Amino acid sequence: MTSHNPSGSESVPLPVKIVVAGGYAVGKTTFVGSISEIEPLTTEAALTTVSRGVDNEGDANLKSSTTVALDFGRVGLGNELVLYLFGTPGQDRFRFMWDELTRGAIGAVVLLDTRRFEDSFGAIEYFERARVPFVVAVNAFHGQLHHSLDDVREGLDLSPEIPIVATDARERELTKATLLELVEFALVRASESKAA
Amino acid sequence: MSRPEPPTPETFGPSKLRIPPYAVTGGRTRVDVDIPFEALVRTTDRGREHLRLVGFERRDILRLAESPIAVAEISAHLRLPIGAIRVLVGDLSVEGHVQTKAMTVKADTALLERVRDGLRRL
Repeated sequence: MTSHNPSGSESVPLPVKIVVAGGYAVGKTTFVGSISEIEPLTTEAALTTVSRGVDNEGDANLKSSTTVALDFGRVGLGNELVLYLFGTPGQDRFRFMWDELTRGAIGAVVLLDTRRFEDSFGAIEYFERARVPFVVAVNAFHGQLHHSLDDVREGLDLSPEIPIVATDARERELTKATLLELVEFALVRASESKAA
Repeated sequence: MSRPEPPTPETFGPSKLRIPPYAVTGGRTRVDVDIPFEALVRTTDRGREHLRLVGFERRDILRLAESPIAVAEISAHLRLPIGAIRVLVGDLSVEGHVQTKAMTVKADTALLERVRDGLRRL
């Protein structure tokens, strides 16, 4: 961690980040909102292939860009830490965001709707390859799981060490438990790499 | 979900993006700006002193960052793309008008334990 300008930095908490990935309308913003101390906010990020030189005014060579809206929330963890939760679409075409978002992240929660397994394949594959600690959280709408967690694991062809939990994105306590599951898993990963 | 996704650029109304997203940065989109979305920004004494000397968007940022606020939050409040805010915050940081704080390395076990304990206490 660094302070780019250390003077007075003692009163600025350290931000930490967890990424919430998943397919369209799986409940990412609901998940974030269930624990966030602010109403989830939206920021707009663009992959812009800019070929504009410094101070090259007016000569707009902004090429077409892909824009993605990221919903995020904030959870203060005491005076020294603040946790940011960023929701990111799982579709492959938004993959450019993931390098950015996972940089420095504790890990990721992949929210899954068992009726649309395939929506999460891209995210799972990405986090596995990038060695980003992640948990799969099956969003049980109205408390109903359509498949057992074992079946889901099998269906996803998930590595045995990756935790899989049932959650309900609307329930603060379940969101909290899901995040704790991830942090515990990240701890295991971190102590493994320390030992190695 | 209150908003349809995946969003398209058209989702963003005229009040927000009729100007090119990067106009406020003077046409620069530096690739070396490496400030994470969650980086916390806080206005320094110097930034406070120079409040009237900086441009509109910079001034808005300095006002918002009176208490620590994340780059993403600034982007959301000012309704400007996060890439633009990043560049502006980068400039303000170089000028000593703000300080920024973020993780630049992987979380170690000590930090992860603090996060875990903090979550448990919620």
